[in-house]
Amino acid sequence: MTGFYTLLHKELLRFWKVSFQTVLAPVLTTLLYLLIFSHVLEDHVQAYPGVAYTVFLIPGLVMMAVLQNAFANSSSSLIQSRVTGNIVFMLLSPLSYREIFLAYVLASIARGLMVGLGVYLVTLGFFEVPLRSFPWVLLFALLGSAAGCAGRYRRHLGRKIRSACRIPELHHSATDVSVRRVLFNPLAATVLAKPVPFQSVFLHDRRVSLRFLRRVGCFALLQFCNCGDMLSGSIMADIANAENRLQAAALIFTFFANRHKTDEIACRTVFT
Amino acid sequence: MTPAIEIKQMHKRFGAVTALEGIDLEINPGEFFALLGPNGAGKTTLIHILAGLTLASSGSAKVMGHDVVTGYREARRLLGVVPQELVFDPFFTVRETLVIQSGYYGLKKNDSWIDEIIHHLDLADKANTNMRALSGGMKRRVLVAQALVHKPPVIVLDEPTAGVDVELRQALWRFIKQLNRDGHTIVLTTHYLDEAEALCNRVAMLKQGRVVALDSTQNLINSISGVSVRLRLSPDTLPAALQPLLSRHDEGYYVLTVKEYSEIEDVLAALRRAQVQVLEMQLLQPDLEEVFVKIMGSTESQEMA
Repeated sequence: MTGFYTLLHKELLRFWKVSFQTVLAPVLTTLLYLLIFSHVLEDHVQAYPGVAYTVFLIPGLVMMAVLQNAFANSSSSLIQSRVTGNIVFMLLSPLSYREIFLAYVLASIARGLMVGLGVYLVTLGFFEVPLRSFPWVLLFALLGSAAGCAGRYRRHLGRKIRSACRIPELHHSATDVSVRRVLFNPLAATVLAKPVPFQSVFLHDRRVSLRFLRRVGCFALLQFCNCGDMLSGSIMADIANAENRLQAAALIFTFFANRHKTDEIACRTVFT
Repeated sequence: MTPAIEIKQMHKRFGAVTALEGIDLEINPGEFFALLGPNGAGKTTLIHILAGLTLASSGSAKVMGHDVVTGYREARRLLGVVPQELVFDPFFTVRETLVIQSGYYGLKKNDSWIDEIIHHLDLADKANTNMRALSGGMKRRVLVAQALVHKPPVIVLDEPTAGVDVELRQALWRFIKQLNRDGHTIVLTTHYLDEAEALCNRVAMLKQGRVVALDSTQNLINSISGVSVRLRLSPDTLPAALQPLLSRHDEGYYVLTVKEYSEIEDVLAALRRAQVQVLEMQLLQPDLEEVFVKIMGSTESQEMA
């Protein structure tokens, strides 16, 4: 087990050593979104009766931060070490593939949770955000980030060494956190505009369990089907929210048919 | 006795390119073994397969009796590989890198051995420097150190001296020789044939994915028959009587090959008779380089035919 702990420790150190960029910066960015959206929408939108829009918004932003950072870590760490070649040190060692996979996934989850917690703690200083069911919140955050980054790792690890230099992937991870992505990202839009499960969990909604599980399930499934970038989230969210099976099937078809065009679709959904 | 490395009918294809074409090789424990060959001969591919970085298309490889695919954890624990490319993790210092690498092998308290490696590779004053800040030679030393953290019985060095200064080369070989004396098996690839000749007991030469020569260093050198003598003459013409002995002629130097040392006397006598003065004379000892050139050349002509 020493090997596994060493790798986990190394992966944690890897982002912790540059925590200014990997933890603090995302926390700040997320808080800026909070500032802007709450300023613009506070007086116009009410998602739940009796809940202020900003209070409604915070859980969504926390979750967004968790997902994005878990994703970004999964892309940056493995791909970075493949491109620079220092992945050989890990591959030369007797670590089993399961240990490698678990260590990377756990480190990504840790970064996601750290950023999410950071955002939540800062907002607590200004707003009263009730946390009624901590186990559910934790479960959702854990499963959400794990499903996302696990899918990515699985794909990366499965690939042969010589196809390591997938620069577009790096580009993806870099733009994941860009404003363009967040504003035009329908997953974020869904998080912002609809009473999605995470908010429900935070605000203790009874309808939570089934829809939550369905959504995480879809999410994980699609990740494992090789579609794991944030933009696919648009259709994913729609599938999870589909009214009936026919609609869901149609959406799944659209998703696979247009996978390479998800960027455009995403932009269109936001504008129309 | 279990061989340190056992390779059987190893084939590797990359698409249309065949990198290895049926390699059979057995390296005994305690050997200092050289793997030689021109660029693209398949040396690094072979090492990558041993290390589990690449999968063979067919055939098997074992390290101390453990298959590198089915028993990969054991095989990797017994193998230390110094990769050819200068790679490093920019987030850590030299010592951190070595502690992490030991951890991968499940070694928690490895500080005294790490200190020893650091001392032998002359890294002591850089131990707490970040990897990014090191020069190329220093990074190369850390690569060697990383391959040794778990005291592997089999050590594979893939061109460890490429781009390394004389001092480190000597220090490195002293350390590696010491390890070999302590019973470690060493497999080395290099383009510096004098290094291979001085260090290794046995040599395999690879060409286009095949083993074209496999013998002890001494036997290979002995296989070169005759003595070569290099002459610069005034006037710059070789007497007709000596023309049959000429093996090379470049830039005013004539290289003549004779069967025995005693025949050199006849060469000199012939020159005196033709009233040709000898300006310079050099006896060329057969060395591994000559063997290498000869073997690589002869397989080429075979292919032509």
